[in-house]
Amino acid sequence: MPESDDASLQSTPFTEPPTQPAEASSPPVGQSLSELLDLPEGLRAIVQVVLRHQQVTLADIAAQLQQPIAQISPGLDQLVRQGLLHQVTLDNQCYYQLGSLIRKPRNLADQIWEQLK
Amino acid sequence: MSKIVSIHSFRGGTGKSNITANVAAAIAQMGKRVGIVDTDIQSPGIHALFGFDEGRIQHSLNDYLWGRCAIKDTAYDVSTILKAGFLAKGKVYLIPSSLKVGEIARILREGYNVDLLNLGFKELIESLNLDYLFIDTHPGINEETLLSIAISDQLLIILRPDRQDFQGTAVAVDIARKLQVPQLFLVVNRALAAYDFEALRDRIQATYNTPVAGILPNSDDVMQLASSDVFYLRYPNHPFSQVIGSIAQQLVRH
Ligand SMILES: Nc1ncnc2c1ncn2[C@@H]1O[C@H](COP(=O)(O)OP(=O)(O)O)[C@@H](O)[C@H]1O
Ligand SMILES: [Mg+2]
Repeated sequence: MPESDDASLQSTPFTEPPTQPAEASSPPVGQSLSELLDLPEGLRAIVQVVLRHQQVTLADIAAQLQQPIAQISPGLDQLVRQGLLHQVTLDNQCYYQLGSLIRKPRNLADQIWEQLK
Repeated sequence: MSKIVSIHSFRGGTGKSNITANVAAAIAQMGKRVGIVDTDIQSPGIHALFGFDEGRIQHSLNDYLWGRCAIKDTAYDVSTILKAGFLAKGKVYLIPSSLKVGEIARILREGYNVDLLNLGFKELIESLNLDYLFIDTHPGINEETLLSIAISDQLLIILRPDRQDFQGTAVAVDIARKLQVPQLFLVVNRALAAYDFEALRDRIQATYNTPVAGILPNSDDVMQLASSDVFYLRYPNHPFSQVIGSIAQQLVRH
């Protein structure tokens, strides 16, 4: 099972919803789903299993894709490094979930946003 | 097993919201529990077909995305639109997007966490015990659209018989294939009576290598209703409604 090198990720509690922007906070940072379109097919298939099931183990992904674990593992590691997926540990079991996917803010002159408030 | 059905088109104004509301209502009339989420955050509209205006929307999808309420607080039971005989089992829930300029602008300006939207869909299916979750989308490609396509079990891509739509549809079909949508259908809307519908179907199916679930006629009656009601429920025997019924049946059959 691949290990995350970021200890803080592993302590994320199972039930905690993804962090959401507090009122009037700075914009969220993370990846865009559009990166999904640029991924090679094998990696994209992995992200999609996670998208559809929210929180899955390596074994779940392998079963869904009907591929051996050894074949999926390197791709999973790469997706975690890219930030598209996160690892969380619960009851000594490692789960994968989506990384911080965000709808990126639009750039528009401040005065225009002010007018739209 | 619940199913997620997304309705998309590459260009705007193709009839997505009208087709979503009508097909969803037709499936609810079969006794299914159906939710409809308006993810067209930039230009919401489907609420109008259920008699909603800004004043009636207390909590919107936007409120959920900003953490102001739970997703289930944004779901409105609009089942009373169903014909009396069908009310017992079938259910329709609407999850509207905000019509307030400031709310729309804020989503565009600040962005939001897309995984929250994904979680929201799942929570809706579970808490409302839905058989179908319909996702009405913004035209073109954006974050909401990509998510809805990536997680949908069935995707309807709407096009009009128009060269711009034909070209844009090729892009939409390409994305749907990349994202491996299990069941992909095309729906042609606003076909003129003068067309040979069968020839049109053959040509489109061959061009995109994708089944055409239905060809909806351009209809003055639909236009006259002007998105103020669900046409299928009001005029169930109309040719437009018959095609809607057939599309609904194909979705349920698969
Ligand atoms: N088959 C049809 N015949 C006539 N008018 C239609 C038909 N389908 C949709 N319309 C009209 O087209 C307009 C756009 O429809 P809408 O559902 O809002 O599209 P979208 O959600 O794709 O922007 C509405 O005024 C609607 O009444
Ligand atoms: Mg619409």
